[in-house]
Amino acid sequence: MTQPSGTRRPRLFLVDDHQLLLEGLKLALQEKYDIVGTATAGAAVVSSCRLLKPDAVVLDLSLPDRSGLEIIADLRAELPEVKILVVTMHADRVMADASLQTGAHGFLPKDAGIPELTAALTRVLAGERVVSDRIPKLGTTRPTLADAALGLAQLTPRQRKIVHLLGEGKRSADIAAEIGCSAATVAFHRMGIRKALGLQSEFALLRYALLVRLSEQETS
Amino acid sequence: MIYQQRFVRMHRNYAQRLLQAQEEERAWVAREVHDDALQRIALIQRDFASVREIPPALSPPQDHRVTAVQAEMDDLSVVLRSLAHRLHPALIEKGGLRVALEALCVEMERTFGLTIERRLPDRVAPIEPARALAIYRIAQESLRNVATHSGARAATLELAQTDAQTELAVSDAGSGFDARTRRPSDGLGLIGMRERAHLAAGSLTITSRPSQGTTVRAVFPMLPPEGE
Repeated sequence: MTQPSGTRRPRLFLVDDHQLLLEGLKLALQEKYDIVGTATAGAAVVSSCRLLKPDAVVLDLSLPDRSGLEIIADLRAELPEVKILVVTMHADRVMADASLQTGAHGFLPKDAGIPELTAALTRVLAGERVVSDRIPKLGTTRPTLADAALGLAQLTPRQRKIVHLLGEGKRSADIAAEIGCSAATVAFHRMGIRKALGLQSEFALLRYALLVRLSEQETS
Repeated sequence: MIYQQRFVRMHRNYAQRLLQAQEEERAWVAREVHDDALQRIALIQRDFASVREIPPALSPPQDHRVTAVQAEMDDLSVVLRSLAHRLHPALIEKGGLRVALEALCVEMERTFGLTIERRLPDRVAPIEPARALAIYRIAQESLRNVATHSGARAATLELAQTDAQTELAVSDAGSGFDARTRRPSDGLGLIGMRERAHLAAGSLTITSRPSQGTTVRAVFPMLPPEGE
């Protein structure tokens, strides 16, 4: 698989909160691709990509500061030509569907090998949508859907409203604008929801919100 | 031997006084939340709503923000009301034990997804407030145990009254446990239930075996405790 000399090598931007994994990815991919930049947090991804103009972003969903889904939404809004391949340890259908709905082009579990990753990148760069065969089908998430509706009863009306908006893929800023409160109030409620439901991370909260949305789509 | 009995009784008295003090404290905090904080919020809400009646009319962004603040205050009321209720179920005094137990079942079903079969008499003869609260707390703790420990999704709550006694039974067909190997962390709730029953001059028995389900039964003779 040699690149024709006249063809430009595809430019990649890598995002993962684990430095070691990032280094490994870089080493493995730099043979075929130009790694134009990396990030271990979500904050600067969009602005870096605006400057560095990668062809594709390899994106981890669980980052310390922002959820990967929010980054997908921002990237699609600002840099629609950039392809997004999600690589995550959360190999589940809920996150895969949510990622693709938000605008990602591909979804791979983190235990994928380098050949699977490069194959997926090639297809994503060619404009295809790719979801790994190893992502379970939606049927397996049914019991979790029932549980999601349960937790909702423990929340206040305001918290429930915010869960719904999160499930629609809205970011904190969107939610604040929509309900007319400040970003600080939204952040406070997000913490409160996590505490009430015992969700350890913003990622778990987002996944929960997506599950609630799915369960309501099923029952309606 | 007599010394030992006295020692045990002293400890029991102490535990019971602690429980009683805890309930009194909770009832006090619940009343403060209900009668002070919640009333204040209601007043603030009324005053705040009147902002809209003062000309000039609010701009759309201002109006949006005012609506948001009102929603936040509504939400705060919901939080405080449920806090007050959890601290002290005033419903027992207002609506009686039957209504309070019914509400407890609805709450537990909503929160934990349990299905609770209620066997409640159409009319519950008046019970002393402290006893009614003990019955309510035992039912609450038992249902919470069903939800968090038994693995069962269904439970039965039964209240039966005769001329001689009031009896509460909460049972499930869940995993059960062996009383001998029970973990101390789980045991505290069970000890608390037992103490509550004793405090209200009743007795509590727990029947459980691994994979055979659990039944918590609390019996309160009709005679007032002073008769002993």
